[in-house]
Amino acid sequence: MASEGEQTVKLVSSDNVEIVTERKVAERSMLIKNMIEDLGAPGEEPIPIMNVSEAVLRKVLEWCTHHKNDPAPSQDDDADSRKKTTDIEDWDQKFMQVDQEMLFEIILAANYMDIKALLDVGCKTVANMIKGKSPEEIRKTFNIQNDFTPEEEDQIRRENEWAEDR
Amino acid sequence: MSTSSEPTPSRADITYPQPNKKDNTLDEQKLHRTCPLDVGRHQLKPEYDLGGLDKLPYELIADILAQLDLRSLFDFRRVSQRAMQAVDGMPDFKQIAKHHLTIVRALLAVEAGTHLSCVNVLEALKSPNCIHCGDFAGYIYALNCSRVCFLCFTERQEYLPLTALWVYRMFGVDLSHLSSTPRLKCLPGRYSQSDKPGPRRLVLYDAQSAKQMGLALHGSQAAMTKFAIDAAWQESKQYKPRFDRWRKTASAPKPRRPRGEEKEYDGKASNRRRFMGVAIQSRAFIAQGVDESIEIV
Repeated sequence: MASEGEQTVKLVSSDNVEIVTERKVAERSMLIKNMIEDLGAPGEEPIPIMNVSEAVLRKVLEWCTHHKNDPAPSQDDDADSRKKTTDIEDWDQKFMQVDQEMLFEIILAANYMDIKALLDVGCKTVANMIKGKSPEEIRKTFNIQNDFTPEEEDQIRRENEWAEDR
Repeated sequence: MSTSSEPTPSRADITYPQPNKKDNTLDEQKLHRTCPLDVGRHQLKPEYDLGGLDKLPYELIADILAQLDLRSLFDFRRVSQRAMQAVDGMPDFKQIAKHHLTIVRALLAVEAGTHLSCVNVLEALKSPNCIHCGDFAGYIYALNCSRVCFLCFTERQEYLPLTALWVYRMFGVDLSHLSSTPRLKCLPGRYSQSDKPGPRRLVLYDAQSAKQMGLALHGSQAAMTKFAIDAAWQESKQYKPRFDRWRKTASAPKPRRPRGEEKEYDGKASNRRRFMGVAIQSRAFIAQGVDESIEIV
C-alpha cells in the first residue's frame, strides 16, 4: 500500500491528449478507480476519458489533487450534504470562479467521472447563482427566453405570496 | 350521523375523533385564499429551452433546484414556462405539491421560505413524531421546519419567536447582525381564543438562531449576559434625566420605565407569538385519508 501514492496512471482526454497523474489523485473518480481495479496493472495502459476534453480534465484533476487526502465519503455524508445548502469551502469557491461554460463542463465531467463531492460543489455553485435573484436576473444569467406574458408573470407572482385582500 | 342500521366504519371512525376546536395556528388564517399558490393550474407549452442550463441533463438540473430554498424555487418558476416545468417535475416538489401544499402556503405567507428547501420540508413531513419528546406531533414550526407536539411548542423556550427588541435585550444582537437569522413576518389575525386580531405584521426572529448569533458575537455565554446587563443598565441610566425633565416641563409624553434585565413574560400556551409560526398537519389527515394533514405553527 505504501507505494500506491507514488504510482501514476495515464489518462487520455477526448481530444487525445495524454495526462500522467498520481494514482491516488485519479482515484477520486470512481470511474477511474473501478477501471484500474478491472484492468489490473495501472500505469501501463492509458485510460481513455471519452467525454472530457483536455482543458476540463486538467481542471478536474486540479480539484482532485487538492482533495486527494479527503476521507472517503460514507453513506451518511450523502444525506448530510443535501441539507447544508450554501456552505462551500473557500478553496472550492475560488476554484469554481470560472466562466459558465467551463462550470457546466466541470459538472458534466464530474457526473461522468463519478466524483460525487465535485459534482456536489458544482451543483451548489449553480444553485447559488439562482438563489435570491429576481426572475429577470436569472434570465440574464443563464440567457433564458421568457415565454410568459407580463400579465401571466404578474399573476403567478401574486398567487405565490400572501395578500390580505382577494 | 345515521342512527338506524350499522354504518360501515369510515377511517375517521376508527381513528381519533376530530377535535372540534380551533388552535388558531398559522394554517387557520385562511391561507387557501390569501396565499393560493398556482401549482398545477397551468397548461404549459414552453417555446424556449433553459438557455445555458440546458447543457445539463434534467436529473442534474433537478439536483440543483433541490438545493434552492422555497422562495427562490418559486421565483425560478416564474422565469419561463420551461423553468416552471422543470420545478414542477422535481420528485421532491411533486410530492410536496401533491400532499402538503398547506405548509408551503404557510411558509411563503410568513416569508419564512428563504431558509428552507424542499428537502427540509419533506423531512419534517415524513416522520410523525415530535423531535423533542417523540410523541405523535401534528404541528410544524415554520422557522426551522421541525415537527413538534402541542406541549413542546407551547412550553419550550426555543419555540417563542422574538421581536428584534427582545433579541437585543436577551442576546445583545442588534438588527445589523440579524439579516441572515431565520425570521417570519406574522400574518394579521387571531392566534388564541381570547386574542384580539392584530393588524400589524410583526417581524419575529427564531430564538435559537438568535442565541447562537449572540454567542458567536460575544464569544461566550458569560460575555453575552454581561453585555445584556450593561445594555439594560445604560437604558435605566438614561431614564432618570428623562423622567426629571418630564416632571419639570410636563410637555413631552411620560417616559416609560425601562424593563431592566427582567425576563419577558412568556404566557406559554396563551402567548400569541407561539402560534404565529406554527401550522397543523393532523386534522385533514384523518378527513382525507392520507394527505394534507399538516398544520403550521
